[in-house]
Amino acid sequence: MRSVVVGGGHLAYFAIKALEEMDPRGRIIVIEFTSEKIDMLKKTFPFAEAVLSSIEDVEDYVSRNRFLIDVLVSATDSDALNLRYAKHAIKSGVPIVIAILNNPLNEPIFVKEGVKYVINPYKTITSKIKEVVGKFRVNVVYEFSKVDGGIYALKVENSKTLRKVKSFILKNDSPFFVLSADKRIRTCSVEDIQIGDVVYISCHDREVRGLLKRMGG
Amino acid sequence: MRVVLAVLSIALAIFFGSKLGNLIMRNLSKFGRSFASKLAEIVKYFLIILGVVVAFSILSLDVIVLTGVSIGIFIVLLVSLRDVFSNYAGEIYLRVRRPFDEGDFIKIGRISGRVVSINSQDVELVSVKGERIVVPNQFFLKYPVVNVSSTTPSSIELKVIFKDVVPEEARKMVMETLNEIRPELFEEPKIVSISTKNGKTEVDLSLSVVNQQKTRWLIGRLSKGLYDRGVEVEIE
Repeated sequence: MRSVVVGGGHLAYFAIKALEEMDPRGRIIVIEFTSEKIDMLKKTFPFAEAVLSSIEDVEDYVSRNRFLIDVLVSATDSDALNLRYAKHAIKSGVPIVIAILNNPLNEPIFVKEGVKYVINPYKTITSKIKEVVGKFRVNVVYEFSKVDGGIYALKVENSKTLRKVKSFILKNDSPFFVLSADKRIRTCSVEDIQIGDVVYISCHDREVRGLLKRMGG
Repeated sequence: MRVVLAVLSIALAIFFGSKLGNLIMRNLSKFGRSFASKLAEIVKYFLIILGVVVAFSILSLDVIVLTGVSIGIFIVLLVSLRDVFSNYAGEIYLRVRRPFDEGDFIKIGRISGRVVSINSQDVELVSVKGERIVVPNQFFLKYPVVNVSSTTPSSIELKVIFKDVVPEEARKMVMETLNEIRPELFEEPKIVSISTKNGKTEVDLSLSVVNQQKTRWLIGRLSKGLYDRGVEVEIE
């Protein structure tokens, strides 16, 4: 698989690592704008090809290689550039185009501009804090990239919530597992869910929003 | 007095047209800004024309004649621009139903390709061979669309035909050449079968790619790799 990563900063570092892990025999090309970073990239990622380019020439490179690029990851330090390159790659017919955000507030702009796969590296901060502190009603544990849904943690605090959660699972036939108050992870029937449990449900986003509404949250 | 009322009706039509236009822009922008602004413009001008017709009727011009003329113009417009309207209807369907997005690989009728852009009149695709295909939006109302997931790798089945090469040697050469193109593939390439027919060795291959436009390039690389090893092959 031929992957092109634009940018050589810390965002790109994780993208290159993941691409190498997925396809160790694949071809990874990293496009960077400064020669110092190119030297660093060559040392850090000897398996990747580091290409020095100007900001303006990236689009030309993508256009010339559009028949060959399988994945393009736009991971520069500038969201404006990331959006520009991602949009150009989509227009050029690159099958998988991923943009990594620097500023999480820019996510709606990317989505509005038609970039389907936007990675917000800061998204886990909220869910992690909620999980560690343990004070939440619904916590978004994981959001799927290709489906509008994910894995949601629901804290069963009282009998009303217990009733709502049980009826939600039965109605939507959602897969779930439970983390008990005594830190045991267990699969069980709906009837065995107890007050104090945290129920991890996988379902569509709109379904969990509906549940939240019914729970008055 | 009649002139004042006529002017008032036109003014009101302009006012409500622009208000309704803004309302449409606000509420339908989620389906795309250009789409919403186009719809807002259509509604706005429709109301203005309506206001003008009302103004004429206030000025005592024969309403029946005016209505007849309006209907006539409307029918002529509808007939002459039926394809354009049909394409707009197609756009509404694509924006609301969203059967695919930009970047998806789709099949419609005998055409297939990756969606580059969804426009008001057409959808632009890039075929596996790299050709730009423009599909009028009305096609999406008439034919079923198959949305082959944008990121699903597809399998290319190839047959490499050798003359005067024994199967073992053919396998070795094909494997060596496949190793050279492996970095461009999604998975390890597979030799499905090797057979001999009429003195020719046929090697069936399965290659997995994400970017279907790469197919022609891969075939070229494969035949070049084998040519560099001293054999000429046919690839189907």
